[in-house]
Amino acid sequence: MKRLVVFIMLIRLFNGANAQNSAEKIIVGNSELHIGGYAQIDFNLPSRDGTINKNGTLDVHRLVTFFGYNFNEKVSFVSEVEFEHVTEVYVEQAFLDYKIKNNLSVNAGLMLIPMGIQNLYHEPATFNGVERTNVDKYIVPSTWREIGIDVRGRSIEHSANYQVMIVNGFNGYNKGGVFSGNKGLRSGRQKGANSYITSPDFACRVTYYGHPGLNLGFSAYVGESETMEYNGLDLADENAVVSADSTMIGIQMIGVDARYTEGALQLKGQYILANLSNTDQYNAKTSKDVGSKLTGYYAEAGYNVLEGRSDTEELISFVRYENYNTHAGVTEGTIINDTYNRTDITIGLGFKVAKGAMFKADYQIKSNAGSDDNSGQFNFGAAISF
Amino acid sequence: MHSKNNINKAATILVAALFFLSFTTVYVLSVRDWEKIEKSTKAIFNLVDFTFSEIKNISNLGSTRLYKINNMGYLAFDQAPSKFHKFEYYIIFSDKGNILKIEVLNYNENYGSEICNQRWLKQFQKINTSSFLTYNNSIDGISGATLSVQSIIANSWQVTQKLHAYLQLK
Repeated sequence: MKRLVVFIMLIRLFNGANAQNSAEKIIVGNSELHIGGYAQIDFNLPSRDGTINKNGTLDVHRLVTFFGYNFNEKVSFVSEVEFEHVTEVYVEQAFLDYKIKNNLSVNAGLMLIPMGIQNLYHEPATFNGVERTNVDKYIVPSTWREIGIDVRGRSIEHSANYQVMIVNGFNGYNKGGVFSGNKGLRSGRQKGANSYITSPDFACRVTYYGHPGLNLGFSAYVGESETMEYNGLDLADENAVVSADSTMIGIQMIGVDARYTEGALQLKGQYILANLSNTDQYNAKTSKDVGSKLTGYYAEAGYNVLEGRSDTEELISFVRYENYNTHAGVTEGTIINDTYNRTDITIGLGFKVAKGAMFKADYQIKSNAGSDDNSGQFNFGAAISF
Repeated sequence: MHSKNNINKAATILVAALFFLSFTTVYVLSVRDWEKIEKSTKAIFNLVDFTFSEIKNISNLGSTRLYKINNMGYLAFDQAPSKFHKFEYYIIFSDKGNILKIEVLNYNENYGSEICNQRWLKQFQKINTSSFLTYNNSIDGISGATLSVQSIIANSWQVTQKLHAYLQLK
């Protein structure tokens, strides 16, 4: 009897151990290991006043490999490693997910900030247009991710998901000001790379899907930027404290977004508002022109021409109007720069040849409130996610 | 000497049992899950007294669990994959094997939970077909939840086929 049990255990051990290293696990089809990825390969061709006077650019804009591992039904690990423009390597997500109970989990690690649509759903085959929306570049600095802890829950009864997060903030000052009037908060992302913290920030998001075809989202982010001036600061030195205080800005950002699909019609919209405090002192200290109010919105309508004609393919024609303004408000001492009030109109086609595989082509008309210049850009791309 | 031997044996069996358990994780329906199922059963069949008797004498059930509800209909419970985890759901069938209700009990992933929407799930009730293609085409997709939509369509189809196979044998 004992010998039999030991024998069975040995067989079990063998079965369990016959896929020891990662490569072998992939080969034998390990159900715990998940592999995925996405990529976006672009060809951009700028034009001005209807003529092409610049070189085009060809770029493997991003290639991301996804690895996930389920340790058991409760514990899993999610990671995304990104190659940007071939030569830059980043970790986009790396966190441990622990299911406390059904419909509720705690996560810790490097995670996406839940703000707007594209920062969370950034796989190229999920959005129209070759490039991501500029609202989600200049106002929401996608891909915005920092290290933190969050709780994610789902209420099936209320058709709602929620996420509450304590997370590290932007690097706002390191031997000089990092934020700018043109790019807003974008350059301050620490991306979990040797990041430092002065005080934690908070983020939350609620989505509601109670009406079929409709998905509504509300996001909020509050906190203060991090600053190296607090590192080793002598709190008794009043001048030093005042100087350090001026290197920090307060951030309050809210976003509402909606996605709606009805048959062939696909509608999408998003509005983001960010109020920044203490920018007067920050700008005086750093000689920057950071705005005190940032706004951005877009509205997009798409139509799947192949609806009802094809089960596997989609041909989506779309048009999008987008405005993003990193100088929607400024404090005393800073002059409003109207060229930061930008509008893009994008018209294009997306040919989805399989779920997660898409060819894209579009034309963008870019203008700003500060000049009469109308520039344009042709974009062509291949978008993949699996 | 003799008793020590027995302890050894017991310990070996215990360790072996734990070993096996760690490899096979079967989802156990919680009290809350059963409450939801019972509530739906009451509402659909207008019943006060009913029992779920499990049907076990069929092959190829896999992870599906089938129950008979009195002589009125059938209940099926299963798990299906979302992008990364599994979600738990159940189907209530008529005695002919038509879907009367489908509901997701737990959804364990932040993406794709739109499939839990009751109004969306109602689409499954009207379908009467023996072709998977027609079945698949009868359900509207949800953008952003493609994987979970495909998963619940494929899994509920398989569960339905298992019940139909059982009904034909009867």
